[in-house]
Amino acid sequence: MKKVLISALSLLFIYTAVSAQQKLKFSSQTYAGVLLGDGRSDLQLQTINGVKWKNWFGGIGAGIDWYSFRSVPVFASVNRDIFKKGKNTLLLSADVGINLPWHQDNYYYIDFTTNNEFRPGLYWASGVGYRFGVGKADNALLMNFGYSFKQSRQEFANVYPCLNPPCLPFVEKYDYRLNRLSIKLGWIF
Amino acid sequence: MKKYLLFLLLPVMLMQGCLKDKLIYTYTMLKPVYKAKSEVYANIKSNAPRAISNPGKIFIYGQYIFLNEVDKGVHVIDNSNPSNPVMKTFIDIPGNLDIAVKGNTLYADLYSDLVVVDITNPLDARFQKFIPHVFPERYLSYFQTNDSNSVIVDWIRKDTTIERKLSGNMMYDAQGSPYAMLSSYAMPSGAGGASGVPGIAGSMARFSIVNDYLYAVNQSFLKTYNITNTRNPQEAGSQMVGWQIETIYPFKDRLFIGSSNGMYIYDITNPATPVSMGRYTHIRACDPVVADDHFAYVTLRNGTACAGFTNELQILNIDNLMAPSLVVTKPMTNPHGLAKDNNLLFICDGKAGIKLYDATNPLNIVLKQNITGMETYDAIAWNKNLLVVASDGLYQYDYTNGTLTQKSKLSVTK
Repeated sequence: MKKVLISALSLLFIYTAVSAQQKLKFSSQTYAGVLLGDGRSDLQLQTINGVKWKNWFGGIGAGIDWYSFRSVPVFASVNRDIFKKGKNTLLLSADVGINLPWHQDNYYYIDFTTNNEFRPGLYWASGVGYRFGVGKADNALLMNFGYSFKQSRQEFANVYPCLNPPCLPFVEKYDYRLNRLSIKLGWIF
Repeated sequence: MKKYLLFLLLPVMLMQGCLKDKLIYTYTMLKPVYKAKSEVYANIKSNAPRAISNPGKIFIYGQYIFLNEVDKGVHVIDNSNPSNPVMKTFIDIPGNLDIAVKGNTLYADLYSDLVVVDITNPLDARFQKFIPHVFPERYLSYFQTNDSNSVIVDWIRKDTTIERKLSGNMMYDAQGSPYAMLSSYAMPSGAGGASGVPGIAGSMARFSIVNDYLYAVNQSFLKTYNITNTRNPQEAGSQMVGWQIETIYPFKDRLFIGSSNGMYIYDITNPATPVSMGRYTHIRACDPVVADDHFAYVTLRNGTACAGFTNELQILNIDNLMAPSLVVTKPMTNPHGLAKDNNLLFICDGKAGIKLYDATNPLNIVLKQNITGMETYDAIAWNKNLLVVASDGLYQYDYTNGTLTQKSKLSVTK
């Protein structure tokens, strides 16, 4: 009896999954844009790849963010279509993930600095966009406006001379919390 | 469609002015603890012995070891029996890094000043006088300035977090970094002593006594003091040597001065007026030096203030004092002080411990023994007894048979 029940549930699960897969569709978004912040602006590039299901899109994204300290955000992304009108639609987007450092330069040089490194921080963004359907299938142009936050953490370990090692390091931590407006143009297929 | 775009763009344009970047800045601040100078001088005397916490340079004088407690003072250790050294007293000297002894007088630095201490009875030391600004580089940097009537006797370490606003290019202002950091370029004390009783310093020494003269190096200058009257040193001269001078080591009628970019040799046939003989230039690194009649042994190390990327022993032929020449290079881990006794060469190689070389043939030195498990800093080899200052204590080894046998250890108590 137990084996029958398990077999039945397995079949039901496989059927449901296959049915769901029929509605899932791979979708890829590629963006170029600008980040506007506190007295400066920089470029961003992103690619997000995932699946579309009804009015939802979910995927994993990565990009290059040149704002202040060059970094590589890696994030999960969700879109929800609203106010659909033919091939065009307004949509809401939300991203959350980690901001990986790329930039490693010293901004000032201290003779005793033995360690200066950027560390990962938080990345998240939200916005509203408008998708213009182009041609056949689901190809579309997209404009997206929103808010983008990234955190860049930098740590200096300054070891000053001492007579008898190990010399105690003096650590300075810089936690940059960068708030930007994001304007992106993209291509979806 | 157009109304949607307008709806989207309007808040973007309005919000941009509201966005501010933030910087959460966490730093370590050292808050100085001051004491009146009169009180500090009154306390430069034999006080109750205290545990070794952060050992620095060493000086042996007769049966006594004078061991610097970094920035605190001097431990006086009775070493009549090297197998059982006894902590006798502690002389409080704030800012102290270097020590030297002649006769019944101890010379020690107190930050930028040189203090003279009567040790006729080493167990009853008494402050005599101070000479100001001998080591001017030991200033207090950034925005801490010392009150001329007070002395910093301690530092309170405090971690602090503040929030700053950022602007434009994100460059932060180093001057704004609220560090209170003691500039302590400290290296060295050479060999010297009064007739009869040997006084020997390690290779990291920054001042040294030869007969009736005390030679002190600061970052750029060699200062000469006549100490015929030991209690009342008189400045005999001062001359520019170079930059980033670190150590001084006397051998016979020569001074070997180590700097971060080379070794200088001075002739002291006329002790009041050292004369520059030659110079050997190397890449940037810290470099204590010891010497004998024909060769100078220089350790180069990187790290901290030393910069550079070199860790090695260099042996120089100094037969021609005007033009020392490199004859041997041997890779090391992170060498600091070194000592030589006849054909034995002892090297404090940082985390690699203490290394003993047979230097019978300086062109082909042979590693005989390497004791690891400690981070070594400086050494003195005298009378078949090797003193080694390490981060965890003061070690003593017997090397009568050409190998190191531990006799004792005074441990650090953190």
